[in-house]
Amino acid sequence: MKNIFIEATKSSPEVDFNLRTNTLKISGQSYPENAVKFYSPIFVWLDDYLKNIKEEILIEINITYLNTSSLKCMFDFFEKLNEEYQNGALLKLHWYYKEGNRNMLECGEELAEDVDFPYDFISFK
Amino acid sequence: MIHEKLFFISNELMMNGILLCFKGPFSQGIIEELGGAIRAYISNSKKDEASAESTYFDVFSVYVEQTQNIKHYFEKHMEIENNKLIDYYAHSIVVIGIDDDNFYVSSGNVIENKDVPEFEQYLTHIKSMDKHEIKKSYKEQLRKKRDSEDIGAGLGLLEMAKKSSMPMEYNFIKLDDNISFFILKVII
Repeated sequence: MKNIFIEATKSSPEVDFNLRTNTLKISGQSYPENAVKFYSPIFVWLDDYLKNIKEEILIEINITYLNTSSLKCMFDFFEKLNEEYQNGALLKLHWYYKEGNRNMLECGEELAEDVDFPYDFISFK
Repeated sequence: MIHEKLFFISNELMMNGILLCFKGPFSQGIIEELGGAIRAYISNSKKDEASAESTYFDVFSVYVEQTQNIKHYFEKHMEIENNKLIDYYAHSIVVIGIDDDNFYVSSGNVIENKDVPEFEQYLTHIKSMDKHEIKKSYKEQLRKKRDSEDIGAGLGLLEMAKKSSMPMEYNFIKLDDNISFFILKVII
């Protein structure tokens, strides 16, 4: 398995997975032309990784804007993560949002509703 | 003379409170660039940075949903004869304006007549819901099983309804036996 790095574009986030630190970081804006096409490979890859690795994975999400297609992809992704978690995978998630960005806080809360794995909200100025 | 017509068009737009507009087929690049122009306009027009940021995100969000809905609609309708499809897509328009201190985003696009009834029914249904019901419907739609690769406008319209300060306005103008022109206005 190798590290993954996808450069950010104006409408899609940077995706950075570091095997050494077991941290997946997704940051930037998310309104790609086709959200399913953008996120599927990442999630399939991570799902596979979770099945094979026994160490804890930290997922850090710092997205400043999510269109509804991306939100739907995230939701489906969190559902899968939750299944893995219930099957014994070790993971936790940090949802970052800028102080005063009510939209992103609400997105994070909406996504957190149906999950059981450790989930923290971290605001920054 | 073209310069007179252009002046007239530009003036009409200004008189209707329109700040930014684009008419033509929306590529992802155009959507991104126009989004940047919206950001620049709003941050220059508001004194308080926090309120500018919050307004910008709401306007930007509605603008992205509307333009991407139109883009996806045409991507899903590739069965239309190519030269007609290009013409129809070129009729698309999006405007960002200001009305009594509230920003609004309005868009227009050609739509096939066979798609009108279902779409109109969905919009009427959304219009009949209060904020609480919209939020509930939004949560349900988010959790619905996805129809294969369907990106769908459902969640997007609910998102816009959540952000609008007044009920969404829409209209379907029949152009001929095959197509109509759909207009949507969302006031933030």
